[in-house]
Amino acid sequence: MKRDFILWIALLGGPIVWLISFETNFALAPWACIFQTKLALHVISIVALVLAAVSGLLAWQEWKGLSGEKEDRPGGSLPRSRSMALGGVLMSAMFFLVILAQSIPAIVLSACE
Amino acid sequence: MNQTEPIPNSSEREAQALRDLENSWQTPRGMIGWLSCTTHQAIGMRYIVTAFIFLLAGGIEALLIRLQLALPNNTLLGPDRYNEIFTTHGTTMMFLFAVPMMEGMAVYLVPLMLGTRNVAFPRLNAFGYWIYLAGAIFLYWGVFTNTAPDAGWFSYPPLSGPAYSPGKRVDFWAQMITFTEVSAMCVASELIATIFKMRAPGMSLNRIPLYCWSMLVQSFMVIFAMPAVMIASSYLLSDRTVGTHFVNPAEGGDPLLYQHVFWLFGHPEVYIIFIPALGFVSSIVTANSRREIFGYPGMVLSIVATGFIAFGLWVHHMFATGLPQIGEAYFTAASMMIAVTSGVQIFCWIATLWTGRLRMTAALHFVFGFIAIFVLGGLTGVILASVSLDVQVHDTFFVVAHFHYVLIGGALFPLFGAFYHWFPKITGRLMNEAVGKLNFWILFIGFNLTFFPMHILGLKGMTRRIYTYGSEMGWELGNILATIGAFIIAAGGVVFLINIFLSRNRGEIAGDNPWDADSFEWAAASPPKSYNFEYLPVATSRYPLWVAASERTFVTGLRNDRREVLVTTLMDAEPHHRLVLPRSSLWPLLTALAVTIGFIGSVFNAWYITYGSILTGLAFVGWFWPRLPVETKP
Repeated sequence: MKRDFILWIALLGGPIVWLISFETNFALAPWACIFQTKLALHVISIVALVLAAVSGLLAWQEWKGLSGEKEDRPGGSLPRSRSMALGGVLMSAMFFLVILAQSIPAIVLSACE
Repeated sequence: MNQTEPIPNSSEREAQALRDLENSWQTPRGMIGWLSCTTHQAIGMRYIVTAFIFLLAGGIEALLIRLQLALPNNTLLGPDRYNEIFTTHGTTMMFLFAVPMMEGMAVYLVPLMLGTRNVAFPRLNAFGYWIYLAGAIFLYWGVFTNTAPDAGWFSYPPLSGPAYSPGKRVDFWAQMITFTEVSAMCVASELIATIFKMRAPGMSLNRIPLYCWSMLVQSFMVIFAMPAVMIASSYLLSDRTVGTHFVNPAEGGDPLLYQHVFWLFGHPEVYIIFIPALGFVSSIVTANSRREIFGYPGMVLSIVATGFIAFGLWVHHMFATGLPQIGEAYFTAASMMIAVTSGVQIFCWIATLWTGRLRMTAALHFVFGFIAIFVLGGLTGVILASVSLDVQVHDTFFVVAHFHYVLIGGALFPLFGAFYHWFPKITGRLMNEAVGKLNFWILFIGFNLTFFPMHILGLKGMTRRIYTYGSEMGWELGNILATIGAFIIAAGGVVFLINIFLSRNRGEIAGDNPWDADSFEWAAASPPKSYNFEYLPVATSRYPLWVAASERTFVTGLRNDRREVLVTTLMDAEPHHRLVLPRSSLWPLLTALAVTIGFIGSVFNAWYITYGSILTGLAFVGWFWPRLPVETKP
């Protein structure tokens, strides 16, 4: 049960972190112009990148742990757990890239463009 | 129950059990029986047939649009009639054809693919269909009584507001949205429950067919996207009918709020239509390559990631509204990154096809057509993701070309492939393959002749939604080619219909599994019995029908004298408990009628919301009236 919970976090952590950071940054974009600072946008992007990386590492750890385990019975949960762990690694990597791509505008554009 | 027993030998007891099964799942005869039916095959077919009729209606409207634009200064349609026709065309295709068609296919196929006997909420399923039908009739009632909507399929205020669109045209549009979105959410919730909890034992998350994964993701998208458009249309409707100030700028409302909320639905909507088509493609490619799909985990993750990223694209429809550039750039980035997830799937299909033993069926032709057209549509999508390029071609025919490449290429071609692929399962007869391939080539040529010139027209400055143009603009050639192409597409549609009718009556008998395909629907009879499977199957592999027959196992122990199905666990599909599904009932229809009275009446008088709510409450009492759990009669 605990493993399944971790696997769900690993699988969906990246996209959920992306969704929250992206919506927050979009809502804050007009305020960056009003206050003449993009600091909040940068901080949110960095925190989101770290969290997506943590989610990926969690998934990677689970995947390595599961690789060493042996199936106790045919049709057991091990292949499914391995798939979820691998999925967590790939999903986190994908959404790390999406967050990275979305952090570029705040670097290259000025606050009031 | 036991999931590993072999099928018992045939005997009189077995014959009696089969008769019980047929009795408990059959629909009562006659008109009352037809109206009270809750089996997924019947409801699915009703969605498919109704949506196809609206495809034909939308197609006729498209031909009228193309005839009007074929020549400069044409007077076939006046500007007002043209506005009505292009609005009804877009609305019909998006709300009355595309989404309901995908839902209908899923309602029919998903329970079969999962190895169960019905969807999780059969009465909700019937209710969803009746509500969809009521909304569709409501819109076309307006069309045939000179009350057709005329403010475009997304009805932006202030154009659609009370000042510039007096009368009831936009109200009909806005309330039709409510009908169809309620219907879509009914289907989405029942599909999620079915896929999560009614899979065959052994069908763990990593063994779910890709089509079912597609429908799972699509259903979650519906749950999150559809409320947004219902809110948008309700803002508009209440501004128009009871004088609220949500999106009416004359009263201090914010029209941009409408655009945000509408496109928060509108962009995921594209993927809501397109993601089920990805599932069709995966099924067709697997069966006709005669090998396992390349990169199953990557395919699943791409579908899930697409489902998420689709909610981060909506502002790319609003680049011309003057939002902060940093904000717009977030959407440029997301719009480009979603190409990665689509690309992963394209490469996985190509790898599967490349290394498989291809059987060049008509369905596979449509898949190849899909890949070619969708990739082109994706490329123009990347162009439109760029703010500077998007602003140059905003509201031109370039955009019209782009979204038809994505939607027709991405959804309609796979859908036609799906018709050819699953027609034998639905009817028990094969469609004519030679006519099917001819059908493909006519549609492929007609489609490209219609929509490719629109890219050029858009770059030359031809804006969408103009009803005519002067001969000095230099747009004649592109427009006449597009019109010729549209009639070629129509000819393709006629060929398809002829093939359907001829094959339905005289087609070769298909057998249960004519394509030697891998998933459970092909283990059922063609056409499937009302109970789908005499014994529910057990999934011993991701490709359960490619396992040797001697190694396949079945569920025994379910009662046949009532509508009993097996509920399994979410993660590993282990048997959990038996569930008795409700019998046929008129209450879904009566509830839909009560809701319809409330919805339609409220367009004319707000008190009908109260009347409709009371009637709906009474109908719910009948719907949920407790009954004995053992039901031996249908």
